[in-house]
Amino acid sequence: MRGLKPVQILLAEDNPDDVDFARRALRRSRVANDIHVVWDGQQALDFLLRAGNYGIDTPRPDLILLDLNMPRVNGMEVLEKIKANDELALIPVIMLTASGRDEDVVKSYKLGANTYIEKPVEFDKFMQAVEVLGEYWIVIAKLPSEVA
Amino acid sequence: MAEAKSESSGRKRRGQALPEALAYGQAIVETVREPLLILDGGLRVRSANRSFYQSFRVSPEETEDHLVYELGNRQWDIPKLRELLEEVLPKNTQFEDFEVEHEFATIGRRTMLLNARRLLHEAGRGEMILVAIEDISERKQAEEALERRLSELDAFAYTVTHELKEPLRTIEMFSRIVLEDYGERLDEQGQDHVMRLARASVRMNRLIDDLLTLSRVSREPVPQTRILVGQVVGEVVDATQTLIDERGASVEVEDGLPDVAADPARVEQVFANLIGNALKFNESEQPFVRVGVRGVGGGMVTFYVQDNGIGIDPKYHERIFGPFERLHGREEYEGTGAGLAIVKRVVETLGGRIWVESEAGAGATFLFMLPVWTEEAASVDMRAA
Repeated sequence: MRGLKPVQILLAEDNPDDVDFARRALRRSRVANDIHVVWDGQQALDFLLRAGNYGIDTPRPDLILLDLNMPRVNGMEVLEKIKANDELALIPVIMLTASGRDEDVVKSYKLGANTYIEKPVEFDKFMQAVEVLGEYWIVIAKLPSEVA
Repeated sequence: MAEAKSESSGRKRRGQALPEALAYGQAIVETVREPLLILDGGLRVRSANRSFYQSFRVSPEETEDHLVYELGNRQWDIPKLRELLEEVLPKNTQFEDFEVEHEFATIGRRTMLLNARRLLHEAGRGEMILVAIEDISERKQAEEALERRLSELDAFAYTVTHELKEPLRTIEMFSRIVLEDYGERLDEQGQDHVMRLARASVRMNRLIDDLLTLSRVSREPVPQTRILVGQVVGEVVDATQTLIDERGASVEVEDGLPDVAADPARVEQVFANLIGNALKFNESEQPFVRVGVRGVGGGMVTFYVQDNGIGIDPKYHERIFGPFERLHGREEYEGTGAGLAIVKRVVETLGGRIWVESEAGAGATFLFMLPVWTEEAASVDMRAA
């Protein structure tokens, strides 16, 4: 069982609407969580590497929600860099994206994505998807961060 | 004297027949648009036609009496051609549509289809080989260009649908959020309006998905494998079980449905759609659906999906297969109207056709043909692959 410390979630998403939806869904989660939002791939990398505008006290996320289509550095590149970095490689990365294209799904998993989810258009399904995600990754799955 | 005379006139007749036959042959060779080469048994060029000289920019002087491989600075010294002339032809007397790609010094890279035939000549003149060369480079390029354009179009369709879906998600989600957060402050009419917004965006989302499916169905190559139709139908029925139970319906599937040569996803799509429709457009107390075979012939098997549903007036029998055609109001039966259009395209892509037998109010029987799976068909397919 996890402690009372809220779970740290990094959400990389350039669409403010989707950020709202994800926040709303995670608010419903029965697991305490802090959401950190970054708006493009470069910011995501800065956050993770504590570079750019992110200082030494930037929390290390327990879970990363990553959109594919983002300005500057896209989700695929971010994923590749995360999985190539020893410090970050073990953080579960969930691709939460509007693309259901086979190539994107296959490539993401090849690059080491832990889950790939196509953003549902319907409200209930979207909420359910994020809730189930939180439930699985935060409550059910045993993560390396707990071992460390 | 008389004998000698008649002998000489006989020779004369034969002597006339030969030039006539030669002239006839020559005329054919010259008239044909395709480049032709006539070789002797030793693969030396006896002659070529005008089309050959024009197409490959060579002169008769540098062609006739030369070994075929020596032609035009040895540009015909193509390993594949050697193999054909020296190994395939002596065994088979002819070959057809052998594709050869070669970089020519004079005219660049060309793709050619070669046909050749070995003719055994009478008395001492040895054999003769006729080689016809069809330049298919342009057709090949056109096909490749088309393929490129289609895949660009595919990518475009994907991007467009993707971009269209994003604002839709926003509309749907915020209408639901309005209901969730401010629902109590809205009166019934206000709530209804917001619900309609949400429903319209969900519907549009389905339309976009169906449009994408429609545009892709006939484009993607069909891998031909052995499909156990009985099993596929069983799976479709299992997946529809909730609906079947809700409607108190019964679905009968004939035993021993023949196997077809197609791909599983497409066959499933066809049966799922037709069985789904049979249950959906059905107001009977006890809906039933029957799946079976009407007949087998000409390499095709005709399946049927029969129901005791609302039926279709014969004047709509063509129209129902058109994209986004609906015969009923949305309030009556929901759906985008793309289902049968998708089924039709799938069936046609698989080489079959689909039609319906029905009267309004008297149930409907959808019939469609799919290619029967046979061992031979499978081995042909292996060769093609």
